Amino acid sequence: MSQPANVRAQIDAAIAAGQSGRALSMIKQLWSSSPSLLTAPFVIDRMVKVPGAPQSVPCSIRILRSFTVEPLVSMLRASAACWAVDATVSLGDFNAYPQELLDPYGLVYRQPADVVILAVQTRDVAPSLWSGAADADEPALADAAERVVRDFQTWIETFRSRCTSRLIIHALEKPAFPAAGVYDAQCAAGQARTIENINAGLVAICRNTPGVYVLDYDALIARHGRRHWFDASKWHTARLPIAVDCLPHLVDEWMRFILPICGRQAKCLVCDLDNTLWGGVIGEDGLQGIELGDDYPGVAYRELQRAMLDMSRRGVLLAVCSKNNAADALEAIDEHPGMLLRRDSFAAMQINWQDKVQNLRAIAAELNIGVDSLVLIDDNPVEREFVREMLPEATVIDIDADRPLGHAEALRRCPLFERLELSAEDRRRTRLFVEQKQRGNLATSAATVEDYYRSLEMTAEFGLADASTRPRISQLTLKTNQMNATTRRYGEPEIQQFIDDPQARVYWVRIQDRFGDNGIVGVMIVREQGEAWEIDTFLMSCRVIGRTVEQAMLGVLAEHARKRNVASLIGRFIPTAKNLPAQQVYADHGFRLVEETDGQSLWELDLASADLHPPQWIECQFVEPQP
Amino acid sequence: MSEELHEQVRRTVADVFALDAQSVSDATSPETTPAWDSIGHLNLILAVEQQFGVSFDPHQIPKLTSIEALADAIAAGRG
Repeated sequence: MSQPANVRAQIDAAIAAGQSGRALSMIKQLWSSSPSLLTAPFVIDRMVKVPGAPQSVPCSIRILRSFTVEPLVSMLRASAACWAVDATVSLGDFNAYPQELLDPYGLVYRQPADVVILAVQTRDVAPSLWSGAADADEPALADAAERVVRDFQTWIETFRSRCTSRLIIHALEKPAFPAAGVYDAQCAAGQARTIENINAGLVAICRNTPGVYVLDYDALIARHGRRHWFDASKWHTARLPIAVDCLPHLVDEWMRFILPICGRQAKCLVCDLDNTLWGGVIGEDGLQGIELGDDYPGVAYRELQRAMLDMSRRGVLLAVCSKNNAADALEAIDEHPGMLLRRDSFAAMQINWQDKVQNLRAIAAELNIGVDSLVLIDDNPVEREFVREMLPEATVIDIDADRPLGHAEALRRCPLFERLELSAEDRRRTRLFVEQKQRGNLATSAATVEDYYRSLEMTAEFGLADASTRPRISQLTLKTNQMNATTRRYGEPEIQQFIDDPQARVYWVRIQDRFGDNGIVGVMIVREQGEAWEIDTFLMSCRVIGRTVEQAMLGVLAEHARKRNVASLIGRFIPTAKNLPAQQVYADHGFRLVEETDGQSLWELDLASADLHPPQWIECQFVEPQP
Repeated sequence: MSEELHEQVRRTVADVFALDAQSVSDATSPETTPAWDSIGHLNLILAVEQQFGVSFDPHQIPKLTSIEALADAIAAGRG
């Protein structure tokens, strides 16, 4: 009792003293160590009082539900606040979700939220499968399942046709005790199997519907223990099926969807070496002495490396930040037989005796990403606290050096590594960065900059968006901060609206060069405005900045517009904290400044007189859409 | 012990309803506290059960609408 009160007083003291990093760190730790109805109001209140806290992203969330979710609301807002998301939460009426999804005049569509959660459970959506399963034979079970899948399909299709909100759907959970007991597992289609079939049908529908995601509710319950999850007393008295201790777990799971939807994603995982990537201290214990391999305790570190590798398969870059002699550390990374990660697994390495804050800044600069995109995993609590206080925008994962078997799970729990879509580019991202380094080496050896461009042997392939490129295009609008003229964030549903709109065109560009395929790295969205094409979105991944790709993009756009007798291109620049690199993009390519207010500027290019073409050193081709 | 428990319950009520701790007294009830509606009551019961490690009988819950009733039920529940 006295300890939380004490922590609260310390937090208030830190806020009063203007120590924002320290205050944020303590509030987040208070929430992660005791997420509850008691701490939620305090956390929500104090997060907004911390001076100079990182800018939060607003997000409106509407929960449609078949059970009581009211106690979750303050916890959801508190958890969101800790991730710099300012959540506004509204609830559908109790058990009114079917009509709310179907009513075209209801609040779901009149005031669309950013995110809609459909929180349902098997006993409500499929009551006959939940409590009457023993009464039904296999064909009857199959019929019931088909009906439930059809219901889901109707709800999802109606929802998608009427709004662009993201939708998170709870898939159905299985009973702790099937009606037929162990015999259930012996049936071709018992109760549990039938519920799994419904979920498979749900996944198939969602896979074909942009912006609709499945939350594996059964896996969530299983992760925390089915017998602990359900509270019969609260269910029968207050229609709250979830035990109070498990409420934060559901909130955490929701956040795993909400954070990527809000663009709160980490791009780079930075690890310490000694007692993090391996057990022991390489500088003292030597190559033979460190713990890493198939036996305990070395296996714990190997499992962390496996988890890191899994993150890198999701498109997360890996980096090293360690106080060590570089030669010792690199020898272990290159030579140790237990290493799963090797030197080419890492996009950046800072192994030296400088402080970690300086090194993290250097890693962010080298990778051309913000410090707010970094997550640090480090066994040393002093280093962690130092980074938290000095770089409050970065995220630090706590691990207990005395319990290495918990390290991998600590990493897997971090929601900033969640991805709702994965593209081929994501899976190869570290490889792309290694190729990028080689390009940088080439730049220093080429005599003139034009020679350098030519030596890259670049080809640009352009195309119009379709369902196959839509996820990557949406992702680029969500993640690109620097070379982005308007920073308009679009989910897949909005991209689909552009695709369907005959007045709009969504171009993508894919860049290849002699070092490899960069994948789709640029997007242009234009809209017809009378005689002109207005450029709604012009963006390019920082991966290809400084290689005249923007000239190729605008040049191809100008050629396309000319062919369609368009008189002019209109561009807009909307300043943000990060998009300075895009400020001059229109000026640099011959656009005329039309007006400028509050840093925003409007640019026009008269196509009759303009001399805008792709550069000679980029071979451009347009891929016609497949019929 | 009993006064300390009362104090802890008062603090819990203050936390759940985001009230100033000093403003919560033994006279605090749903009638005096706008946030203490039926959902507020559920939130409070959940918070109390979690914090004090007790589990109330469903019949009891609607009656636990004062500091004293809550403190007595906690004491009884702890045996």
